[in-house]
Amino acid sequence: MTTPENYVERNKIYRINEGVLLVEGVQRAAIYDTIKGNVYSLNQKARDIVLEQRNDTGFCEELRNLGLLFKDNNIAEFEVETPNFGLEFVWLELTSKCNLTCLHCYAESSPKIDQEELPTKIWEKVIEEGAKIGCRQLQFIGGEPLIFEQIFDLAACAKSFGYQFIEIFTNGTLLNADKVKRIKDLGLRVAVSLYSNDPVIHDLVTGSSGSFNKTMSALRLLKEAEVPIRIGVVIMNQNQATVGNTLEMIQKMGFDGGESADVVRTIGRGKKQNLLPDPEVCRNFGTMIQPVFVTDKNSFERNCIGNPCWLGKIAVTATGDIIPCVAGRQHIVGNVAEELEEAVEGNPLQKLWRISKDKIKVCSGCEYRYACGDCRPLAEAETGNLYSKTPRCDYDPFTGEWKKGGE
Amino acid sequence: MLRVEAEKPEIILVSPSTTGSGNEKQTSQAGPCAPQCLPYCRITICRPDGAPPLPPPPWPPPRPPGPHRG
Repeated sequence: MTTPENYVERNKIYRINEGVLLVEGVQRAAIYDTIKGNVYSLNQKARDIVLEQRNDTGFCEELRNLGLLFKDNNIAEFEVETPNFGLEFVWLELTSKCNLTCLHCYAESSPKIDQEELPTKIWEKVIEEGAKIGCRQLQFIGGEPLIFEQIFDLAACAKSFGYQFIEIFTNGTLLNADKVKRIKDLGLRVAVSLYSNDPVIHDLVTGSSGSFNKTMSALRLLKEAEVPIRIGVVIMNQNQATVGNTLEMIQKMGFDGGESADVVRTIGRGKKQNLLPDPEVCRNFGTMIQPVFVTDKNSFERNCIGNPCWLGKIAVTATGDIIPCVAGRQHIVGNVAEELEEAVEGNPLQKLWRISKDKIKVCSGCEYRYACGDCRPLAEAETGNLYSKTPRCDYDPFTGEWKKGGE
Repeated sequence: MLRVEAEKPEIILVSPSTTGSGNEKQTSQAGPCAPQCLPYCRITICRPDGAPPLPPPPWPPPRPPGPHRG
């Protein structure tokens, strides 16, 4: 039996047609058609026919008909270039304070947080420095970012520096008609968390009676104003029974992304075991249980070198620390007291950004490693190892098989 | 004597759809993260450099069909 301890390394990439790559895995292989976007799974026999250029006319013809194989079998190893990665997206945690106390908050925010906020001029400096090194996407978060009174001044500042995507991630409870108008006038986007269609359950999750009604009022105001909105549902034990109805309600309200639901991640207060939903819900909503992959040239090349998720991103905490992701809070790679560019170009961040799937145990032997997503903070939280495979994937590249339901 | 049949070459499409309108729609709506990541990753579908959107890594995966609790 092939295991992580005894496997024969097969991790090469071959160019088998223009824009088509064959990626070896331990047991199987995958073909990435970066032009059409398709990914194919190959068994060992198929892989060997392609790589050893065996004379199997029928199978090779099938591949050529799909546009996957050179007519002259001119296969060569694919060499990945190693570009420098710049800053593409920044989260700004304007405050650690939140008016709610959600059960699962990864940042452990609450009204009781007594953290002094950074002055507006520091945030303006971060926004300007980000723009100078090419960043054009920004999200204000917290805590609850609308607690930070100068948030709209900062949004205007970001617009003036050319940010093309500016979003506020809020619980919605502090929004009113005036604030929605400012959001609309500034061309901002909004993302909102909603936990249930049942007010009692939503309020149970947020720890605040009446929060459901306030959030729903905000959603209606935003909808009326035609502000682009996304709604996310985090599933935990407390709200799992209403997930279906919640998603249906979101859809009926006419919001895009109503299907956006994910299982609570075991970070911050979310680490409490009694928050995890039932195993079948975890599997249905939070586990990769079947191969569904797409590809393109850009993502393929990026994933060969860097992490599929946090590459190009940073978060700035309410204390000015720079971290690679809001959920990766222990990985402090700098502080805004220094130039942002120093942290972005520094080794600690670049090393984190470059945790490709090739550096992750088990995933490095998987043929899907350049099409798959990732969440390093989740893997680290669940296993204690930053370089471990996340438990929320049911594929075993050492057997080439997906777990059956309930195994 | 047990005879083991030689393995046949096998190729399986593991993308959500083949080329055509379905795939184009999927790609045009895709972002650097799967939409299901919104509650945590909180990333949008746009890219700063105007490049075509990245395909969505399947993390977490699409929900399987069938009834949900509640």
